[in-house]
Amino acid sequence: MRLEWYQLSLGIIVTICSFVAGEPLATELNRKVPEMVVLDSLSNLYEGVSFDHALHDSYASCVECHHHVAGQPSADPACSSCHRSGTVDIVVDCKSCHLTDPFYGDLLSAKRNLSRYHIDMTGLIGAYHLNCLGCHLALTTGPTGCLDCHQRKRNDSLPQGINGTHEETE
Amino acid sequence: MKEETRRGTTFTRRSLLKGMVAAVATAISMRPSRDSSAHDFHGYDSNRGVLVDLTRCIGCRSCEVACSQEHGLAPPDGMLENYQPLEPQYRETRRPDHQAFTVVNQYQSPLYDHPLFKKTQCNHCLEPACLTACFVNAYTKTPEGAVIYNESVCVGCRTCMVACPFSIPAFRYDSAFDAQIMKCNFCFDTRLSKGRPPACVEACPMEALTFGYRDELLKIARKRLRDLPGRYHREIYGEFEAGGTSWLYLSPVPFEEAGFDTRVPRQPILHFVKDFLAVVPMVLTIWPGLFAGIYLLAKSNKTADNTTSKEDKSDETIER
Ligand code: SF4
Ligand code: SF4
Repeated sequence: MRLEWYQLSLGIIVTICSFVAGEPLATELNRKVPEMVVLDSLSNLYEGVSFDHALHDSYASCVECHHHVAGQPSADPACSSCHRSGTVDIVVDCKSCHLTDPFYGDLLSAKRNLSRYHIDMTGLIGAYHLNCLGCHLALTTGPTGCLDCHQRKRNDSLPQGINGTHEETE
Repeated sequence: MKEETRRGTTFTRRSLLKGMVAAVATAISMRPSRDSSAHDFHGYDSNRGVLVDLTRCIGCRSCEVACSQEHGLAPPDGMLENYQPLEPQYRETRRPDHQAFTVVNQYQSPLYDHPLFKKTQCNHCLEPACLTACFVNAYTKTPEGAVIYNESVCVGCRTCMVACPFSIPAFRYDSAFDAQIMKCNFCFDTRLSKGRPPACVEACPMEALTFGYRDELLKIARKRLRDLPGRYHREIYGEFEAGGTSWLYLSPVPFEEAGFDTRVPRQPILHFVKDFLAVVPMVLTIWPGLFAGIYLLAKSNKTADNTTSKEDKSDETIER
């Protein structure tokens, strides 16, 4: 039992990896952004999730997902009160701020520091689902079902029901 | 003989009076300290908890599956293969029982545009009523905040089931020789004691469950209420309920709309038990006289019900 969750957290650590090379998109930053991103932090359980970055770039402005690190002031008033102009960070991927294991050890204690402002930053899995599903449900467009994004891996070596989401039906 | 007794009585009375004065003095001097230790206990500083945010929960029941796996229970039934968020997977309102320590129920509120989902499990009270009620001390409140149960000392009286304001402890009836109470233990043995979050928290894709120190979770909850006004009903369920619980809840609608029991008193149940126990001796002293009086009254009415003076007399007799 313990090993499963250990494996799971290890799997989570391997995140956004393949950047499929393509034409740079014309953005406000004039910076090369990937057209497709494969999110495969749960690759031990599911096939990676292919995220069409270019498509989303045409729907939404950078700040709606990248908060204040993409060179524009954040759309969220809770961020923009401090991050007024926004910074152009070298690393803008989700996992560099949203931790894969948000409820472990030192972070819990660090959050008790009275001067800390960011006490409620979601973990990586929470950030993805809240952001993706939040928009897809609100706009009633885009995939929302579990298997719409997460193709189940057919792996016999997996313990039954390891995904923690669905009863194994096979 | 008579004198001897009287002397003896005088002697005893004097010493008794002395003793009483001393006892009263001690009681008075001890009172504040006893009060501060018993009434002002607001949980361990190291008390962990979970903040449940109903605005984030999509009803996927991943937490139910993770919980049953963690505790070697049968997987919950009725799970959908390709679950669509906010889609109800059942109709009836379920309770946690000996086969499932946690359940997620669906509630429809006219104040909200889509179904609400509420996860129910043991709330791990700061001053647990189950613990107070159990006379063999089968329950322990750990410094980490978990309320855990020891089946080896449990005698199966089920007082804890009655005492719990949230009706959480469940009794396993299926095995006559190994009957025991079953409830969420905050994953204490396998996770909490090792500094790991409970299984349900780790499985939740929406981070509807936030694990942390309870005092920190209250700050996080207040931050959400402040940062996202309009999204939440402006209260935290569990901050004061039953004297405060480790599991805290935020809801977009008033709590009774989402299946919460808002009649749960805000003081620890312990205080009510104390009051109740104080009432018992009073009952024992007053009731026999009261009922004897009613009995005599009825009897006198039956034998001679023509005069009021007789009734008055009988009343007097009782009073004497
Ligand atoms: S804390 Fe553990 S036992 Fe309690 S509901 Fe969560 S998974 Fe189940
Ligand atoms: S896993 Fe999270 S989102 Fe899913 S039902 Fe449980 S609390 Fe709700």
